Amino acid sequence: MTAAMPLAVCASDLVFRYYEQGKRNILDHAGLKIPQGKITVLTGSSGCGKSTLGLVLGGLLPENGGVLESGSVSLFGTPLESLSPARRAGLFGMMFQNPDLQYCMDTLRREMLFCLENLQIPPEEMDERVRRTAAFFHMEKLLDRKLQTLSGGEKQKGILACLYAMESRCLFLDEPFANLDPASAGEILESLQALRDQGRTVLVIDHRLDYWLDCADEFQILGEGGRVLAQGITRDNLAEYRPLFLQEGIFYPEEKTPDTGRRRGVSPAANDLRADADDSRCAAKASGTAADGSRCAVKASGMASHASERPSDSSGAAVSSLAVDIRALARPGSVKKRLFRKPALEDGELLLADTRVSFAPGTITAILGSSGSGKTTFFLALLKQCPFSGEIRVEGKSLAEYRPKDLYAKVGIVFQNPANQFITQQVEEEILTSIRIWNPGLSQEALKEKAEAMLDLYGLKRYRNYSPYMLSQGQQRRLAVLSVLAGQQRILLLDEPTYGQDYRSSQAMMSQIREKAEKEKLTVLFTTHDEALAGQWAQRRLYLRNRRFRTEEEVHGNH
Amino acid sequence: METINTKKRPMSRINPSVKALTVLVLVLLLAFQYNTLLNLSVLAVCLLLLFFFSDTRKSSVVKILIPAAAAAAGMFFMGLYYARGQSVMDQLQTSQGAALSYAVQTAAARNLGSALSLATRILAFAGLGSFFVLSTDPEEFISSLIHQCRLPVKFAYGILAAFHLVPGIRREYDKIKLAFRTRGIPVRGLSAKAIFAMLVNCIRWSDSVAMAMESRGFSGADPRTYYQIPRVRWYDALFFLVCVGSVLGASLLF
Repeated sequence: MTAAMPLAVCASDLVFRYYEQGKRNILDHAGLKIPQGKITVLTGSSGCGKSTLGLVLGGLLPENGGVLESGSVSLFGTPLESLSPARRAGLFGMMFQNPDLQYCMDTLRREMLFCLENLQIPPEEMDERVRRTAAFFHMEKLLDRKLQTLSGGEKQKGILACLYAMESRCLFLDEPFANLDPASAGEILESLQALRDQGRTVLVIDHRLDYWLDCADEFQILGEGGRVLAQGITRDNLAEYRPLFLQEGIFYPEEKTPDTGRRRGVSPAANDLRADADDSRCAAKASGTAADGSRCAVKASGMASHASERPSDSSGAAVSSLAVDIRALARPGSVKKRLFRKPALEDGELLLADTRVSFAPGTITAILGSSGSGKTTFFLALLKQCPFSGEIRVEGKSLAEYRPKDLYAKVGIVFQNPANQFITQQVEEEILTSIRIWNPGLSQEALKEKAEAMLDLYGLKRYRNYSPYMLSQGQQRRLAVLSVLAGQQRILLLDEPTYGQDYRSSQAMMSQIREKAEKEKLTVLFTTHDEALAGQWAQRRLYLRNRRFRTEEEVHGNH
Repeated sequence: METINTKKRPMSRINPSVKALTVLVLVLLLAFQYNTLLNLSVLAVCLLLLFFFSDTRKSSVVKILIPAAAAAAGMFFMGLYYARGQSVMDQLQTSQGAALSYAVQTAAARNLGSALSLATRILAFAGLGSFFVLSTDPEEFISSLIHQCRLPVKFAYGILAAFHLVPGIRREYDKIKLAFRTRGIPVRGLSAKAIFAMLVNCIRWSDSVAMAMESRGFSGADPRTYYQIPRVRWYDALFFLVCVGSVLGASLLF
């Protein structure tokens, strides 16, 4: 179908692995054709080699590590190896997942100039280009602000602006919305559409297609080894590919109506759909079409029945394991430190004010809110890592009375960035350490058996001898959640546990969390930007808005 | 051409390489003499320039000077008791009875001068250092090093990128310590395990930043254009001559 259309990216027969001696090829005879002037979205289960593929296309690999055994890439008809980094950047501009690790300079203007200098643009043209770019993205005010004062969304948009300034013909975005709230994501989407209308090519990697349904021209599904399983998917024929989405364990995007988030999870139709999804996946597994057995097996623990048993409102639960009554919680760093005196929280930028909320054991609560609204800071306050005024009671005892050690025996956390979480250099050891601490009497064999069973459940068993840092982003997050679940804390705080997960892993992870929460009467709090996920797995949704936790009714009632 | 530094105060406009050279020469000049008055005047001039001719916040000057003052005090007492090859303690042992307090006093008086000059020298160095650091933009310094001192571009931008990651490293370390604690592993003070985890993360960061830079067309080898090329102008030369000349002159006069 792309025969008549000129290609922006054409790759064939790529075989790539990170280690010379490694047995597993990350890319295994992968090929790709991306048409010019379109928005193309690549999706696939986590760990299938999507990001690696992008890096190979951009020429960053194997230059920065790894072995490319065979294959060739051409950008706009020119073989990649004949291009200098500057020419490559002009053809293929890349934006990565983490906004903090992409800048070399300290302000946006300087970063843009740095990019233009690399491309050998004459200095007298630079001001005009910077001006034009800033106008296009409406970022004039941000140009000279220090980067650390910008939000994640602004930084990501800034990178896009750099690519625009460089006039890269193809823009490549790897999970651009990682850790962005829907509003910032929407802004970036708008800019991308405008760029496409100017004739630029946009190539995106994303686990979730919901954001892209309205604007992408084509979707392609990647399978094991980075091979394209299906292409030419558009919004119109998406339904035909549903079985493939389910087989690969990728999120099948559902049409978004303004109130799906609210209804999903309680409406019987949604439950049927999920049960149906489960059945078809199980069927796929049974008939042997699933790619490999080591992937997460979803425990089909009667999801539908769980959903119907769900109490309509559990906020008025009698016993609470966690009672929060915060008068003021300020953004860290916004409060001036004073010598010899307690800092005045009220002077800082308040994230929470006069809010009261309690959490009952055995319930899962989802906390939603735009990025920067203070979800993570709230978690840090619960861990006594952030000063606040008011009182937090953990299992009836005030936080102030806890010694750190006793507190951490009760409250466990999974951080947003999983790489912060790892305390050992081996996947299996990571889990073993947790189990050992909590089960001091167990023999080495019993520990090992337990750890392997857990890893198997999360599809990580075959990586057990790897370093945690060698896993893909999605796998790292899974390991981080697992390592905390291996402990026996009564209260679990999960900061964006499912970001970057494919559908199958998210479901497996959440169902295990729920099972554990119900069996052991744990209190689970998780943050997310994903309303559907929150609706499906949390008994209760809280929206952090205007410095207060608001219930669903309050938020949607105001609309 | 819109210049980035239009609104700068005089001391921030001096070419950073010239400024660095000036400071270096002054440090060498001061290092070879014992001149309390000169040391103090250098410190005073540095502070004056910082306070009145640059955009520095006074609190950051004070923050640098407090540890420097502590070091100077240490130097002072060491000089007082142990200078000129003979310590006050030796004198104490050799003298006896009524002569004792007199001996201590003479020794101390003889040492006082050198102790003062050593201590004020530390302060003068601190003044020069903070003058340079606080009135210079790191990015301009690097850019000046590329053009005036032929620093290879690869190093220059590598240093800059690393420099911008430094504040993150501290936050990262705190997070990692918290992660250890919440997993039930006690961490006290500097922990080798936590530092190791932090270093692993730093290496990964540097990899990602390097790849991001390359993806924006940066390579150490290829030619690139420059938006602004810092030049050495007449007032830079004047600054150097005035500073070095006056210190030389003062050390001859005093």
